[in-house]
Formats: sequence, C-alpha cells, structure tokens
Amino acid sequence: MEDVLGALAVVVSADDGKNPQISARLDRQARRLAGFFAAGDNDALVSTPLDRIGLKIRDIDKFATEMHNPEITEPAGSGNVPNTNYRMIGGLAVMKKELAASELNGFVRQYGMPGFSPTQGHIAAAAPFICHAREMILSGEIRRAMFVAKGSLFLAKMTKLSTACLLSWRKTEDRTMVADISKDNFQEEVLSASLPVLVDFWGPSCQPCLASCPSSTILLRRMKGS
Amino acid sequence: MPFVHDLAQKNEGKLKVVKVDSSKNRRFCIDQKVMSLPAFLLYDSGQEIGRLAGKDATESAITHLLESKLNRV
Repeated sequence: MEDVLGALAVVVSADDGKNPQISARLDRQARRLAGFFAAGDNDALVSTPLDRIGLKIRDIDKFATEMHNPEITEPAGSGNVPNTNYRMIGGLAVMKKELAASELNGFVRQYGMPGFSPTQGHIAAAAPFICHAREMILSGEIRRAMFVAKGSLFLAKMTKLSTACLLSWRKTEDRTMVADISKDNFQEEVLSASLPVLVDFWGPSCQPCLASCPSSTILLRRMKGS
Repeated sequence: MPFVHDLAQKNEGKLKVVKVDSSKNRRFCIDQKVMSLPAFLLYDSGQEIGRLAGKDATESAITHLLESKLNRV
C-alpha cells in the first residue's frame, strides 16, 4: 500500500494540571543547537540539549525517532532506519560512558521502539508516538518520552528544520504543591488562585518544618549523602 | 512525617499547597506577620481565612482548620 495520507493534531495548551508537560527548556536548547550542526545530528538534537537541562540519555524512558506504520509503508533499500537511529542514540550514551557497549542491543529494545516501524519512509516523523506516550505517562508506565524530529536525507536537502521535544510526567508535588513562593509570585500563586491556598512558611533551621515538609527533608538527606 | 504532602494529596482539587522558604524571604515573612515557624496561612479569594503558627501548627490542628474552612465552601 502506498500513497496513504494521514493527519495528526496535538493540542498544546496551558497547563491543565493533569496532562504531561512539554519541556520548553529542551525545545529552546534543541532549536538553538540545531542551527549549528548538520541537520539530523543526534548529538545536537539528543545528548547536548539533554545535557544542558541536566538529564542523561537514560533518564528518558522512550525515544521516538523516525517512525512509520509498517502496515502502510513497505521496507525499502535503506534498511531498518529506526533501529539505526536508536543505535546512534545508544552510541552517544556509550560515548558518554552512561552505557556499556555490550548493552547497546538491549538499549535499542528498552529505550526505543524498533518494532514500531521497521521501514524506511520518506518523511521522518516521531509524531505517531505522541498519543501513546501521553497514555503511557498518564498510566505511570513511563516518565519521559523524547521525540526527535530530524530531516531525512531527502528532507534535509530542502529544509534545515529539525528539533527535539521532551514530554515529561508531572511530579506529584508539581500537581499539588508549589515550592518557591516569594514576594514576587505571591499575588499570582496565592491571592489570585482559583482554589483556597495553604501557605507553608518554613525554614532550613526549623526542625518541625523539616519534619513536616517532604522536599526539604529529601534535600537534607541528599546533602548528608554527598 | 511529611503530613503537608499528605494534606495536599488528600485535598487535591480542593486546595493548593505552596511553600515559602523563610530564610530566603525574610522581608516577605515580616510583611505577612509570620513571627514563628512553622506557620501555615490559609487563603481564599485573596483573603487570609486562617492561620496556625509555632506550637499551634500541629498536624491535627491544620487538618481541623482545613476541614472547617474547606467543607464550607
């Protein structure tokens, strides 16, 4: 089957408190870097932007690269392109010593979706995974999914557009709590809030505060650990 | 015991919980007349509707305050 046209729309809205979040920071980094590297450079689109927002390659649970529905597109001459892409991302993790070279095949299976699309298509698209990723994040199956949109060889000749996008789960505390209230955001976060707001004034030298307040206890534990 | 976290989860959808690090916001704490820690201030529609501070700010007192104020709304 050839010549099949499909359409996909994703509504990106203001934070609704429920859905996974898109990392604007990663998007900015990827766009900035994409201009300096050859289109489709996995280093510029994956490892460097992640590095700049303080994440490692294996902090991502699933990568979506070039994907097509195998029921629609037949395999073509370039081999298993998604598999190659996943091996390249795994290779970056090996270079950064986040992964042993012997674990590369396991990486492709665990962090990629080589079976999702074993074909070479003409337009590289990670988008088909977006809806699945949303469901997997909401159900807690995965925490972060990264989408890499790089021009294929063909597309790269016409456009320099390439970017990466990170979809991230909501930490429980993000949903119900805001950590840093100050004079500057008090009006917006507290006085103008649509719900009643409980403001917890605490201090790092106040023991009862540390006992009642989870993120500061975690912080304290980390400081002791290091 | 992270009861603040529990309170936030228990009242999800009814209550927002935020934190102020007093060591970084001394001036702001004075403005809010927060004199002892911990201090829990409850706001609704921009108005302070309840406050518990120092020794009074126990888990049961806060839970009681929230129950009496939130369930009326």
